[in-house]
Amino acid sequence: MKKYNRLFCIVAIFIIIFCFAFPGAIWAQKNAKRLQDQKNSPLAPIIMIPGSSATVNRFDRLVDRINRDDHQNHSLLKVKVFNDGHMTFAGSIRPNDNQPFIVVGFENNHDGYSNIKKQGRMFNQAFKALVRRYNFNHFSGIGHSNGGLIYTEFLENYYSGRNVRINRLMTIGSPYNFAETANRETQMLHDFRANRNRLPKNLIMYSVAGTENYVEDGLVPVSSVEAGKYIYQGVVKHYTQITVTGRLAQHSALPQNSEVLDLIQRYILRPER
Amino acid sequence: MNAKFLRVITKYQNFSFIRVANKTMITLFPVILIGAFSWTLSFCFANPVSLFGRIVSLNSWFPQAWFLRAILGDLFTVTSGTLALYGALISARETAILYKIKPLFAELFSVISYLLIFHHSLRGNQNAIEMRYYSAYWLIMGIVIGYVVGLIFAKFTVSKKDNDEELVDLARNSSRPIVISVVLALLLHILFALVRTYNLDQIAFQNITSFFSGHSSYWMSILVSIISTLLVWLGFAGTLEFNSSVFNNEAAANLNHYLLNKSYQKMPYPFTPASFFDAFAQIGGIGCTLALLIAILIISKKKRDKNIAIWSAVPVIFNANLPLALGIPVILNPLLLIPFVVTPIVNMLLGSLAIAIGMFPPLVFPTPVGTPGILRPLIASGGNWVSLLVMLLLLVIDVLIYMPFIKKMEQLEIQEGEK
Repeated sequence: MKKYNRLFCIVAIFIIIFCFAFPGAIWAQKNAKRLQDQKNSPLAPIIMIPGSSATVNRFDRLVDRINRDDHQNHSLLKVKVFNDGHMTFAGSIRPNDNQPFIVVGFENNHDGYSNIKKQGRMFNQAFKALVRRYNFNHFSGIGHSNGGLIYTEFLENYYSGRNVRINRLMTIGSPYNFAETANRETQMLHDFRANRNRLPKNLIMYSVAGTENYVEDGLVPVSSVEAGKYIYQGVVKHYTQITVTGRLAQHSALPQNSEVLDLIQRYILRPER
Repeated sequence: MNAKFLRVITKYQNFSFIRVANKTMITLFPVILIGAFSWTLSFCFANPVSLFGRIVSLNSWFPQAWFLRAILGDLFTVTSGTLALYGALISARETAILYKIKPLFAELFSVISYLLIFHHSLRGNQNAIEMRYYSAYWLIMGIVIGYVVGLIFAKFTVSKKDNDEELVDLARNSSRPIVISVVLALLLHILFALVRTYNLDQIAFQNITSFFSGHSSYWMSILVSIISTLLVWLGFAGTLEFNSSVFNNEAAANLNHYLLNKSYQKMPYPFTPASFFDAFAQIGGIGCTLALLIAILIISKKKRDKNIAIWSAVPVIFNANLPLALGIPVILNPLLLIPFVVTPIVNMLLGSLAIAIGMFPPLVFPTPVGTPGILRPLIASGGNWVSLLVMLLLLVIDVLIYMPFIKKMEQLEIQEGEK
């Protein structure tokens, strides 16, 4: 009787394993074929650039809040580019996560047009490294404050769109004319306008401005953010200007603003099947 | 040589801490068995994204599965998820009994101390308590602290000659060890709070992940396996914790590379632990414990071990091997240390050899949760049957590796029993 028991147990174990093996193999083959048939890479990260004087940790709370709202458990990967060109990667992307957040920060995170140009070049280096590492062929972007300017610099001067496509871009509180009002054009705005034809034609662009009063968000004049229309409107596929007010509409608080989070979930994140 | 070796092992097994730990683990076996079954049913069956859930399209005919999953998940949380706390309780009790004092207050204050040391709320949410340090992953910590509290009580309880102590008298005689254990626990709690305030645990974790994710290689896979098996053997008895998440980038990169280029050439991370360690080294959980289970069923002469094996069989198939690790026990058992660490490495070496000579393609596809360890290469290769045959062969080899160690272990126990 006792020997019977043990043998029965071993046989039962193998029966269970094979009961899973056959349907499992069939499922695996179907799944492999499904993944291969998709033309787009399943992975489409959202690449974020923080503003001046901010670090790769700038968007921690934003990602946290979004994860709590949509329960998709988006991963967070932080890339820091140093002045000498080397990069560090911190964090990880879960294998089944198709919309991870990637933050690219710079050792040189100072203000000013010359720095924006340097940061655009460094972002391009990080971007190429990310594409090499993860092999995605489309992505979305979010830039807060100077981050939006860096994105504009990148899209006009480095982005080719041949192998990797940008789907949507959202800039939050980005001062396209720095601290000047629209009637006094800065050098940067002049250059951005001059090269606007290099922007990707199928880009869907959202520019979010915050205001504390009717004029500025505590740091950046609204008219400076609105100057983005001279760059993007008429060139990209859609350009939408949104103004956010109320609590947390101050310049540095915008990434935590609940309206902004709602906009990100609605326009940047795709619904997962 | 043989006799000297057996003497050393016997001395080890007779250390008071080891005796306490073994008794604690065996006592906790029913708890972890319930936990393992709950986890298996909740995570591997009542879960639409598990292998089972996907095969039967669970969501289309049983969308209320989430309710079942939540209930079973709760059962898992209060059993395996609180195991270290129970470990502290039982460990203090066994220590007290060993040193011949009444265990009542030792048990009580062991639980209080353990709760106190690791009590803190979740970051950003003042109302929820972080349960991580009470779970099976920190089991050894619970046993150690219970042992220490038991020793404190053994040393400082004022002993009475007669055994008819009133409860009130016992409380008064235990007042010194009560104060000592609570004060010590408070000091450790403050120390732990400092670590949390300065985010030292998060910084350490980030540094470790940074280091590991930059250095993927063949040897890294072997290193990850050795570290994981050693940690479990030492009593950090959680599964699926450290291993998978760190190398997920590389698995994702491999998959995307294969899908975009339609070829297995020039894979960015050919030797990532995410595929090697995950697929080859976990037949029945960390340490290839399915092989241990089958070896026990084949050659064991002890009724107790056979019964434990039969009861643990279903969870072990789904890689929940803690019942087996606690019931035999494997944890802190010097005779099973070698096969526990070596079998995963042997599997990885032979498995990678099979890929290298082209028996089946590299493993790029993601395996859903709840895939039995032995079936992982089958799923990760996209349904290649040769990989299953290779895994069955590896299972046979692992069983053969475990057998002599089990024989030795039982020989020793019989010898001890005869003395």
